[in-house]
Amino acid sequence: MNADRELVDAVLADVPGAFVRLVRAHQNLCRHLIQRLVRDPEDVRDLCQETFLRVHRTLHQYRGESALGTWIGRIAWNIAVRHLERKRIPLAEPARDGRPELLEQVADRVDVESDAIDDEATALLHQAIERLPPVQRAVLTLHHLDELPVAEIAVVTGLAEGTIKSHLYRSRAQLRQLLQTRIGVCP
Amino acid sequence: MNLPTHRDESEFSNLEWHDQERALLAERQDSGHHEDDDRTLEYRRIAQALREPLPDPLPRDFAERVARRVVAPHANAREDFDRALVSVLWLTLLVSGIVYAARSVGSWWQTVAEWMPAHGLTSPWLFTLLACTGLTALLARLPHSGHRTRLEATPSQAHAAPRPRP
Repeated sequence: MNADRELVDAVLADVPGAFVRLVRAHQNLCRHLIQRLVRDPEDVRDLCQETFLRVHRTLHQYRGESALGTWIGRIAWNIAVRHLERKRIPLAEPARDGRPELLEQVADRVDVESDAIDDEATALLHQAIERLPPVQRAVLTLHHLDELPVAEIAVVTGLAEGTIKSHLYRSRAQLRQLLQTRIGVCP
Repeated sequence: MNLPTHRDESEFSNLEWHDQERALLAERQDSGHHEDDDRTLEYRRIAQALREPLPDPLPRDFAERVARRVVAPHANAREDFDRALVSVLWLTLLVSGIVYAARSVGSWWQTVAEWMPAHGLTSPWLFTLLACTGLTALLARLPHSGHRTRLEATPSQAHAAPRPRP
């Protein structure tokens, strides 16, 4: 936390290179979050840039109550969610009626006899992850790839911890169900 | 924001949740598979897929580009100040000229009136025409002080610009 405060103070004092260091330190989290919500690479770059420009404008408001990464993640989340809302893309899973389950959405292209069954399973999983609703994709990535605990994801997204746990639990259970159905056995 | 509430409490199994989290930790620590049951193995495979790097990384110089965008407003502010200073100097010069002309207009006009008949310029309209032409030519030689484009053209905009014909 002290390192965050020092970096923020350096940026606010216009120390040369400080803002570049800040962007480099947090650009991966920002990209993962936005990419999982938005997907289009050009939009992702634009929204990441917009995030850090806003971070620079509002950095004096950072009080150090949470980690700097969490604070930046919250800004990135708000920007990406507003982008999705403008494009009328649903953020989370709608009611199950009339919507095909993840299982039906993923193409049946896994050959269980294949020697490369691991690669096939991984490809199937990636395909299925891409089919998840934006919020579930983002929450899974923040927890697994960026190693954020549930409490921090709750701060970033503004959702309740219970909701985050529910998203994680259901998404992973769905992915497991898909593996069992398509692959059948676990090596 | 139309996000769901925690509506699946009844479906939530603590045991399975702990298996999911144990698989995640095992993948992070890259520990062996020898004590894992089938369910944990399946969740480890899922955790492995979720830990793979995402495609389409940001450009290598992304941080520098953003920093340049942040610095740009300061540069623009300096340019604005320079432009304002030049305008003030021109205005001061113009006002000084008018004041000087107003104070010495009597003797100046007398000189002109004496000079014109001597050179065949008897009509004041002809003199006015010459003065206007001279002033226009002088103004045309002044440097253009219009606003510059503030932002660098993006590569796509640069491609969109019309090319000069050979």
